[in-house]
Amino acid sequence: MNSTFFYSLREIRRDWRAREIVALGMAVAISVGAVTAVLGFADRVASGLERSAGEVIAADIKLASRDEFPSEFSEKALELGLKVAYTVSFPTVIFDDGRTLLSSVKGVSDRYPLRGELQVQTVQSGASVVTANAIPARGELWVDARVLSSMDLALGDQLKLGEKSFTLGAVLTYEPDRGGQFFSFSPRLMANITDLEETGLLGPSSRARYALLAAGPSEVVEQFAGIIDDLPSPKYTIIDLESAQEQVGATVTTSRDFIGMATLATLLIAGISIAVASRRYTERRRRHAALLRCFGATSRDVLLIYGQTLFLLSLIWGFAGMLVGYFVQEIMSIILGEFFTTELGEIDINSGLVGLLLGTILLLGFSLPSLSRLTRVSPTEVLRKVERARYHGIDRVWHLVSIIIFLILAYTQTRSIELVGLVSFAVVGVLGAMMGCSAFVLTGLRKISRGVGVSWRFGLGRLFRDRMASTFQISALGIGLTVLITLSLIRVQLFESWEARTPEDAPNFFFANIQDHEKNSLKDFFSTRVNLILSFTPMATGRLVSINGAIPSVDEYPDPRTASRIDGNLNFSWSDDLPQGNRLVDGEWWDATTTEPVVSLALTWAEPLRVKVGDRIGVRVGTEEIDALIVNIREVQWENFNPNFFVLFPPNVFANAPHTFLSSTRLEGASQDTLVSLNQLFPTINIIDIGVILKQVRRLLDLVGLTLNLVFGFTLAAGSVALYSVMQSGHEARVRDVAMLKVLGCDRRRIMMALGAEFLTISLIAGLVAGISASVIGWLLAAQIFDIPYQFSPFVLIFSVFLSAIIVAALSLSHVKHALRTGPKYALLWI
Amino acid sequence: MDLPSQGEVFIGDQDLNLLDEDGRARLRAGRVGFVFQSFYLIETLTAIENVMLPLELAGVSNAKEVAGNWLERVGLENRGDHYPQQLSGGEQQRVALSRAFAIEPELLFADEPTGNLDDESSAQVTELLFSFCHNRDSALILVTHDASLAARCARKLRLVNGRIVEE
Repeated sequence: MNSTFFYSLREIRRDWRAREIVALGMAVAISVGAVTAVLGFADRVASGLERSAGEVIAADIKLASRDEFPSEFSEKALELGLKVAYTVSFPTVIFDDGRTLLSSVKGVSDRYPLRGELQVQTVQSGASVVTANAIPARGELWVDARVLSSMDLALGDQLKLGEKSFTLGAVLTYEPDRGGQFFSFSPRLMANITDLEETGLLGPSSRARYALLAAGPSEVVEQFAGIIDDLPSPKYTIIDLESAQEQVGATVTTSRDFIGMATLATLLIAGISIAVASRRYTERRRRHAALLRCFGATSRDVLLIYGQTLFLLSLIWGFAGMLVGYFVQEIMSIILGEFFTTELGEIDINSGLVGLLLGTILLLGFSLPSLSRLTRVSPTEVLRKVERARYHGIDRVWHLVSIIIFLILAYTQTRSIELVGLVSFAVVGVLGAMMGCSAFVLTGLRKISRGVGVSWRFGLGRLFRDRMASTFQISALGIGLTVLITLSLIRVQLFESWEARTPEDAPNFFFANIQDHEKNSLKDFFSTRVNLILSFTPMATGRLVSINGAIPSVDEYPDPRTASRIDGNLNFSWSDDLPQGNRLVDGEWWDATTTEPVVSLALTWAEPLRVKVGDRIGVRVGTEEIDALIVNIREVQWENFNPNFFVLFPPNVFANAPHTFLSSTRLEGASQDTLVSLNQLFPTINIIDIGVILKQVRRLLDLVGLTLNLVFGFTLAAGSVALYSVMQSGHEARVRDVAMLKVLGCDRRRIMMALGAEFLTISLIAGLVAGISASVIGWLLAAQIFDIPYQFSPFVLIFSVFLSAIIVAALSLSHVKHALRTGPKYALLWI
Repeated sequence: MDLPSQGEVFIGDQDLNLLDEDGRARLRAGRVGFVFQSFYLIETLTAIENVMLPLELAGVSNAKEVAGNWLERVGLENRGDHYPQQLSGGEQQRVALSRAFAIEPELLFADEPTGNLDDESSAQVTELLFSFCHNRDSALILVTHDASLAARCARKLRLVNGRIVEE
């Protein structure tokens, strides 16, 4: 081991408590801690989300088809080590003692559900809900409570299904994958799949939907999804975790983007504080470096000594950061356990190692420009002190290297060129604005200061004497502030937008199949029983028969979901106005009185069918067929849980088509009991309970909120260290100058005014530019990345200046105290 | 600048022990000047601003004019807008002398005022120091290792290891 290494060790042992080293170390620790916690946490959240999403389809992947799956499918899945289950469901009308009820039968195989669990009430459990350990036994039916109330049956009674008689074994209270299709909800009858063969109901005209469920490690599931294309197939639809989360998909994507951005911001701020602290570190070691050069050290030796010192520091502090990261992971695991009610596995050790690696690269990368200047120290500096090193052309190269390193790190963390590009553009923009603005203001102040008092002149003189350093200080402070304010703004706007999309009072019950003549009595029922006013949305069912005059073929649309739109039924509605939660992205909304055959499509429906405004689609309802011109495309907010439709017509176009109505409302606690009477009074109305899905969505939002706050917490911590480092720079010179002012007879009040003038100017410039920049960047991010509405507010500017002043005051307080405490005799000790 | 660990120190009839730090600062502002071996000019202020500083602290209304006159007297009338780092050692010490004399102090402390200067600058500064003190009737307390400089003083105290060994 060479001597430079031992010198580095001694350097650390001697100086480990020096302020600039602590600031440098803390910046490294925070960046390592943030990456460790966020990476590990993200993995756990992802696995939690997968479980949560998996519950929605009771599996990790679901293949749905109108035909039974050949055995090759399950064989292949089992071969790969996946768990497999089957379901089949179909509508049927049940008869008992003169009563009839349209219901939905579901046959399930052993091991169903593969994700989530069935919950039931049995004769033994009474009113309490228990988790079912198995599927219905042979000859047994589990049914919705509504079946019992509508048909006046009780557990233990017999009910005939087709040609087979079943015993009612349990009331089914929860079935994880029930939320998939809102409008197919009729009361459920669940049986063992083997029994259904004997009912004789699974004939060719049964409208049965078969599903193959599989679950296992995500990479194996992906492998399975990749090879089933080669199997002799019935026409099937793949429902994976992504598509299972349609209602919350946008929220999850947005939150991933935000987490990526906040991690990026944390790295950026940590980078700034490392750059500031390392600059200070190397400046304070110029005399040492000069002495080393006097004793014969080459510039390579100097680079090795201080490079190694920084590397060792990054390891020591990075290790501490890693422990903090693991600790946060553990805490989050406990909180997440409550969210997901499942164990989330061990701490992710790799995340810490990645964090440590990133922290070290960040430290070395951002210290390069300062280290480079240290290697150029001349031995003559032993004789003549140089306050600050001269800028050299090569410094630009090192700055460029540190920027490239940051961009690579940023990309590895976010995997989004768009986000990294936008953030880099924003940083360059803000830096330019900061430098331009501070140079402009400092020049202006220089002129003004000639006519002001001694305190102001002294305070401002410190700023414009070393304009480069002042600009650097103001810019670093301003960028830190910009990042924090931008993240706060986006975070608030995201939460507001999510709250608005899925409000606390979102409907948890849907009522379908309401006939025109039932509307008034249903309305009266709700207003008298639970004091709620219902509104109704019409719904008709037809078929898509042409696109731009041609008959569409399923073969043209390889995506099974799109193909099913051509092949299957088309539910649509009509409306005077653009429905709530919808936004026009193309075309114009119509005049409500129009009788022209025009149509409005949801973007997610129009895009896969490759139709746009100006195209035509043909829709047939019964014998009536309309060739409608597409006049607008809407973006639909599914998360608000209001009845929404892919296809909307003006009210007069399909007014005579046979239709029913939909309604929705929120029923809490005891008011849900009225549903029993509702079911008896209106037996044909389908009551759809989406409370479970809603709870899942809200739980997910809470979780996303928690994640955002965690990452934001790290960003704040990194920001505080960065700002502390920034305010620290130039502190020795400040203390010396204050000591000198005291020698010359300056009292405490004037010294405070002088320091106040300096700090006020810094905080004003940084605060103003940060406020303006944060508003513009927030708007850009809201529009380009998060797709949320954004409101400009002058309060951001006021808040930014205020925050800047508070931060500068808080961080400089200890410096001011130190400077004021320093006696005038310090001037004599000044070497 | 500091208080005695024991005993009393008077400047005129003012007991320093009875003053707080601000009180002592005000006393220095009006009556005491300092010249240091390392000049200790405030680097963020220009030469003229350095000279103006004690004048402004003492409440002199035409500080700039007075400071300009002092710089002229030390031969630096053209260097007023330069920052300390742009001046040579001798020039910096002459600015420091102007700053010390600008308030016309009753008492001037000089700590090795020529210690960091070459012979020519040293001679120039010594001349200025003694002539100003003489003209203004200021008391000069000088600390030096330079025997020839000490020889020009009216009363000499020699210290060895912190003790007065000769008067």
